[in-house]
Amino acid sequence: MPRVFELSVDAALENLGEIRSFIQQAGAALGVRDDALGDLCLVVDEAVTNVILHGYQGAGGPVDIHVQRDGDAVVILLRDRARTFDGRGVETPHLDESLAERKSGGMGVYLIRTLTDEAEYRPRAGRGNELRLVKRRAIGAA
Amino acid sequence: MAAMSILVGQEQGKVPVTVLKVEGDIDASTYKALQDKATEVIDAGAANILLDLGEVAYMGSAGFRAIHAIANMLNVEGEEGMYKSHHVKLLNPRGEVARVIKTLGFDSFLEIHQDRAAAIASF
Repeated sequence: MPRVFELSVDAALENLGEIRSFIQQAGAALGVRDDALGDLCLVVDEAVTNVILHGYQGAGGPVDIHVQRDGDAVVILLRDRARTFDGRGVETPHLDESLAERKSGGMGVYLIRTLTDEAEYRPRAGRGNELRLVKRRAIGAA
Repeated sequence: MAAMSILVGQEQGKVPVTVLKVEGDIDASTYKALQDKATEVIDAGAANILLDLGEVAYMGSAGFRAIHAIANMLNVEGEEGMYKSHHVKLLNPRGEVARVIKTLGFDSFLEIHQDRAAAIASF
C-alpha cells in the first residue's frame, strides 16, 4: 500500500471534480475519518480554485498535489508554477454581519484557515507557489 | 467536469414558493448555473425560493457566494435587518454541506428545514 499519493493535473475549473475524487481516494486509503476527509476535499478544492483563478488567472498550468500521512495527521502539498498568490493577505468575512452588509469574498481562504491546523505558504524557487496543508487528528478515532 | 443539474418546481403555501432542487456538486465550475437559474426565475416573478440541497454532496465557497447573491436579490429593503431571510430558505443540507453552512455562519441568516412541506408552509 503506497503511503504517498500524487496527482498532476491541469489547473482548470473542470478538473475540480477529479481533484476532489483524488483526495477522497487517497484519504480513504490512508484511513482518514469521514469528517476530516470532507474538510480536506473542501480546503484542497478552495486552494486549487485560487490557483486557477488568481494564480494562473484562468490561463491554466500545472498543479501537483501530494498527499501523505504523518502519524495521525494528513499533510497535503500543492505546488504550482503560477504567479505569486499569497492568500494570507485576503480579508476574511465578518460572520456577525447581516446578509446585506456581508461581503461574499474571502470565504475560501477563511475555510482553508479554519478547517486545517496549518496552512503554510511559500514561494517556490524560480516561479510558483507551494501550499502545505496539515490536518491533525485526522486518522483514527475522533 | 463536476456534474450539476437544477430542477425547478412551483409550490403553493401561504405564498407561491419556487423550489430549486440541485443535484450534484456546487463548485467554482458549476455555481454560475445555479446563480443564473435563480436570476431567471426571479426575473420571471419568483419572490420566494426554497433551495433543496438534499442531493448535493459537495458545496464549496463558490456555492455559498451564489446563495448569498440569490438571498441579496430577494432582500426586501427594511425587512431583513439582522433577521433571517424571509424569501430564501434551505432544505435538507447533508453531511459536510450542513457543517460548512454553520462554519460560515450562513445558519444565522438562512432558515434550514428538514421537511419539505414544513419549509414551504414557513414562507
